[in-house]
Amino acid sequence: MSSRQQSAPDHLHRFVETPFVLTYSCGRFETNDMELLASLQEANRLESALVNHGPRLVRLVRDPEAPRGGPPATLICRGPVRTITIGMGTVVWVDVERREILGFIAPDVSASRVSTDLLPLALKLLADDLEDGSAE
Amino acid sequence: MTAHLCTYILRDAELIHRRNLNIAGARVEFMTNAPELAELLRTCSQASESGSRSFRMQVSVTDRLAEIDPRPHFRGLQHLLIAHFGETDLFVYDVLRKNAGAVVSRSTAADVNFWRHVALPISLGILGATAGIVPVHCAALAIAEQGLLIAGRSGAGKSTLALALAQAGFTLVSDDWTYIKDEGGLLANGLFAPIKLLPDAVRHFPELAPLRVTRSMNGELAFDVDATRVFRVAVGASCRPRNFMFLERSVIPGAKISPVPSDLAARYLQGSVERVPPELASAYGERSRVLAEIAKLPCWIFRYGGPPGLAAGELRRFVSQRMEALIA
Repeated sequence: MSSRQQSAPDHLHRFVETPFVLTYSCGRFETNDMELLASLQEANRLESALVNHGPRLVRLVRDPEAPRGGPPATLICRGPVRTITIGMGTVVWVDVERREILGFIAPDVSASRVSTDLLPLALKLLADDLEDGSAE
Repeated sequence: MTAHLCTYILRDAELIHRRNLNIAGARVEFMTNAPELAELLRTCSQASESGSRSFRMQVSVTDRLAEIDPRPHFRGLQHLLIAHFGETDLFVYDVLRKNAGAVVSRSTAADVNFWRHVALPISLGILGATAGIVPVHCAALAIAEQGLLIAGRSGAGKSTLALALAQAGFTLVSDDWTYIKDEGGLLANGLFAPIKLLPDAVRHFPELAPLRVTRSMNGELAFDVDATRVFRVAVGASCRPRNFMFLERSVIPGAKISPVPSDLAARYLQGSVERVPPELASAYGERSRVLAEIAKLPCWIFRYGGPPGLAAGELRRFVSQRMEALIA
């Protein structure tokens, strides 16, 4: 990336670094939240689910500036992308075609909730679509 | 968690009310389940010719009640973005597949100001580049086929000067964000947004005195004014830019226009647009090309101090001289 582009604004927080990495046989998990990575490693079944369901990339950004609270969880399905939101601050996208799970986690959503609840749901959405090919 | 999920599936087969819209030069394939929203969006479509490329927008209207949150929340990773406007109003953008999917409440669906001033500008800002439309932070005006782009940092007075120019006979295309494409030459488009003036603008425009300031999306207090209705100035949908002007304010009264090298314009333009990740390079390839074309325009710095009316007169003389030079 050019120095000009590096000086440009990043209002969407696309370029937040995610230095904590877990690699598995078919992909890579990245986060900026060590607690989240630890929680994921503790949940042994989750790591095997990553291998079985095969997302090429999981990138979850802990977002301290995101708003807390808000509306209940929502799932929007459009074409090959599933979008899970919790409140206004947490969003997880599942791109079935690209086999990617990407998202921002608000401060009020705990690491354990991500590893026991949110990420398994994302993996299930990915697996369901891969199995029945229902992505439009 | 699945049991508590409120699920929306945006299927083409259920979004049966469809319109092809022209929004600031971009062709938008709009689909919804609500006939009244399709009709409202038709009134937002502009008459001028749209480009050959398009992006798609699918909107599901729900019966869940919600208020628009005055502080929207935006995030993006790689090709996927979200814009959250409150309890049920959220837009998901997929830049690689050139589409937006949205779920909105019935009250939001019926709010023409939300679509004109929030949802469509934001959607165009995110997806426009995939259809060859580049949002540039500048004002655009024209007189006698001579389009003028005016850039400057936030708070430099672009809107104040744009309004003064419109009062001096220019046609106002936009005062803040301009959507520019290059199809047989540069074309700068506006997007029916009201002109935004800071509270101190009332010193120069007494018409503002009876109006109330409101808090805009970035938290600023400002007058959001329909320029045609309040000031009776001419407003146009687009213009052909011929000059690119950087605005700088001075405490010294007077006005001065100086040429500057085009690489200054290139640096400004590249530095003002959102960074994009490498995987979107091809989707945004057009953006770099259009920005390079804008930077090739004759580029000037306009420094002025004193009332905006005097500055507008100076710029009008400048454009006339440029036209005479071209004819000669």
